[in-house]
Amino acid sequence: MSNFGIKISQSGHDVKTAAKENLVFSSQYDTLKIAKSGSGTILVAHDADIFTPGKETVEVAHGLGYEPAFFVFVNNPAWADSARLAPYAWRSIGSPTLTQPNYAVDTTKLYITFYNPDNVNDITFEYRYHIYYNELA
Amino acid sequence: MADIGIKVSKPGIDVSETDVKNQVINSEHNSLKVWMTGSTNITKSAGTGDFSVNIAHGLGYPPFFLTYFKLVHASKYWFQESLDDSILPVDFVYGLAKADSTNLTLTVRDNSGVDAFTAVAYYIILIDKAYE
Repeated sequence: MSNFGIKISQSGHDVKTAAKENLVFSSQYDTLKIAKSGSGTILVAHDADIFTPGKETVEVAHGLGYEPAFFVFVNNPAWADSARLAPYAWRSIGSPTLTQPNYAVDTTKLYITFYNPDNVNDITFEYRYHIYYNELA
Repeated sequence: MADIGIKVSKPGIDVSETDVKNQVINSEHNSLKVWMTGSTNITKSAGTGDFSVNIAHGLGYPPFFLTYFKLVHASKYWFQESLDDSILPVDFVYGLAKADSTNLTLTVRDNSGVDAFTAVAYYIILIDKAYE
């Protein structure tokens, strides 16, 4: 194949000689292309049994027909600033129950599962997700 | 420097009037670029422990990455650090990933000693550095 395509370099770099790390875009390399994004909140009720966390799963249909790459951010109810989001929530050391959300995908849906380790209080989580066209293969 | 470059907006949006957030690409701003994708088997023997495979990436610096694991519950691909909750609350099995300047290290961690199985790890390694 001939050497053709598109390259865009970062400001201050000659596109003809720039290393790949200094390119904004190159048609030689795939990019993460967003198929679907969204956000929401979910209330996870407590479970009075201290060894069994409350649990809720958000299911997001993606309609792609294959397992896509994705990214999820959630807030951590243990943080004072609940507006902060992270790809992983805090897992308490020595906790008898789960505190960390789980993320999984199959050919039809993204599954975001939340756990409430508090056996007295309900917890509201905030989440945001990106599902990409990129196939895991 | 002159105002040169490329901007591409989302459908239905005038590229000359829109903010960067509504642009698909803007040459003033870097974008994540995929370097390597693939999958590898990780053989986990019976019992607890970490079971790892290194993927040489050849970049010379720790890159940004995304990893997903097909674990005991093989119908789903689990994001790194996500417990396979099909076997909870008794068993704790999950995938971990870390990168250095040479390798992406993919690990299946079994904290509870389930039977042997072969996990599959899927990875996307980006050209972009994990940190500057």
